[in-house]
Amino acid sequence: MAPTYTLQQLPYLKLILHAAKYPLQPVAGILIGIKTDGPSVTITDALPLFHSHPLSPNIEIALQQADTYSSQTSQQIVGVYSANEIASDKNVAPAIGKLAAKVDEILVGGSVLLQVDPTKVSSSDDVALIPHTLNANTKSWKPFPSAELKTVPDASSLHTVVEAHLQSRTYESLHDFDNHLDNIQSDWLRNPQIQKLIKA
Amino acid sequence: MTTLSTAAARQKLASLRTTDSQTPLTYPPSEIHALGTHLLTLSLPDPEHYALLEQTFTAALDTGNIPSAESLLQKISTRFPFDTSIRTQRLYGLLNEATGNFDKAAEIYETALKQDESNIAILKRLVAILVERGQRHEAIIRLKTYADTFMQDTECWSQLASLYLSENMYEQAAFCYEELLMLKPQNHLYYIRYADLVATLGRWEVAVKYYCAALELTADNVRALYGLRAATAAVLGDGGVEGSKAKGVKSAAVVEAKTAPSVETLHALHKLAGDRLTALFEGQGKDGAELTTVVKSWLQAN
Repeated sequence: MAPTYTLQQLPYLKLILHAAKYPLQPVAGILIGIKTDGPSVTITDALPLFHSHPLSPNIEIALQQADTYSSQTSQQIVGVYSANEIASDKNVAPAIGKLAAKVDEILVGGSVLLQVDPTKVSSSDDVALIPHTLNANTKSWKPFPSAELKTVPDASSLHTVVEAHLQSRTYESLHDFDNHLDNIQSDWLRNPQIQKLIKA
Repeated sequence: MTTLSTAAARQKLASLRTTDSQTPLTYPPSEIHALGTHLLTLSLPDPEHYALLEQTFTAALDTGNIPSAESLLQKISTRFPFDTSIRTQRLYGLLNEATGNFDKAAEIYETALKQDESNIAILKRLVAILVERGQRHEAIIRLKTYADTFMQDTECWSQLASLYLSENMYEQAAFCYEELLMLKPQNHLYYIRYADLVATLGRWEVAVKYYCAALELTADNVRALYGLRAATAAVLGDGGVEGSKAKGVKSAAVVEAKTAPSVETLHALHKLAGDRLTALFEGQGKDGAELTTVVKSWLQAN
């Protein structure tokens, strides 16, 4: 049976902010959450990883550390998000497909790949995402309609919140793993500044 | 929104104009546009005034403010008409690119090249159009042709490497970084990126050497330390250098492997990387405590 996916506000906001912070580069990150029988997957957080083409060994280091971090709250890595350099390019980049396949293997199936669709950011009745799941036979990522992706709160409320944070440039306080490697004070795991700004 | 004095604003924008194109622009275009717009209302000397018009124009395009860009371009072309100035032609080209009129932009650039066939700025815009249209293969071909002539151009090799990476062509991307290393042998970031690339290709023993080279240039660089730890772990975990040979690594790497560091050296480097990372993270004190815990747990497993 196909898994049902629920995306919460915090991860959605973080991944859009990550893409907005680096409009000229490809961005990628990890989705954290809980997978239960059904299967049903709830995405509770997003960990921004790169604003560059993902390379070894940083991929492995980030995955392992994200895994340690998520298990501290009894959660798992449940997927990957990605945004391409060119806004009109909606394809899953080969390197991202491979990263997401690795995540799917660790989760033992049921992971989700959220491809950001920047052309839909201003739409108030849809999220700016193209969700994908892994076809077990072809090993390729297949999109499914974003309407089938449950969001908490609904797309319209999410849109209002996203707009507000894009206007106030909240993304300037967002740290990803690349930032952390350049300055270890940047907390890419908890992003406490973002937590504060989003709660406000 | 920063409030700079006029003098500070002039200085800031002037320094941005002379920044090496290699340095990515970290100053927000919206700020540049705001500062530039303000400075343009003052009576500054002509050369600075027109430089500001051009700079504010590009910032307007970067923020999607087409009306502002059009009005600024109008002022530029009154003084430097389109027909006689390639620099103005290029700006019209940029405006067309920003509004998605790639055919029109390409036409402007091709015509400009007839007047000056080796105009670097125009040649690069033609590559940019191909990238913007998602025609990466064509962009790669055109950029390779450019590289044949302008092989000292680091921006070219960086862009080419990026295009190759988008296509998962890691060997070719690595070659570009070899060119960059020859051009700028003091740039530790090139060593690290090259090491990351060969590590991605599975040539961990080569990666070890390049992470070490980076650390010789900048001690305690976290990327290089992480890389060194992971690379030495990979080589040692593979049963040392013999193990990587067995994996069927490319012949060049096997030759390299014969001159690879000894197992003792690898262990020493592995320990050094771990010790330095621990020291750096623990040096953060209480603030970095949570991150330090995660890092230490990673070090135990790697």
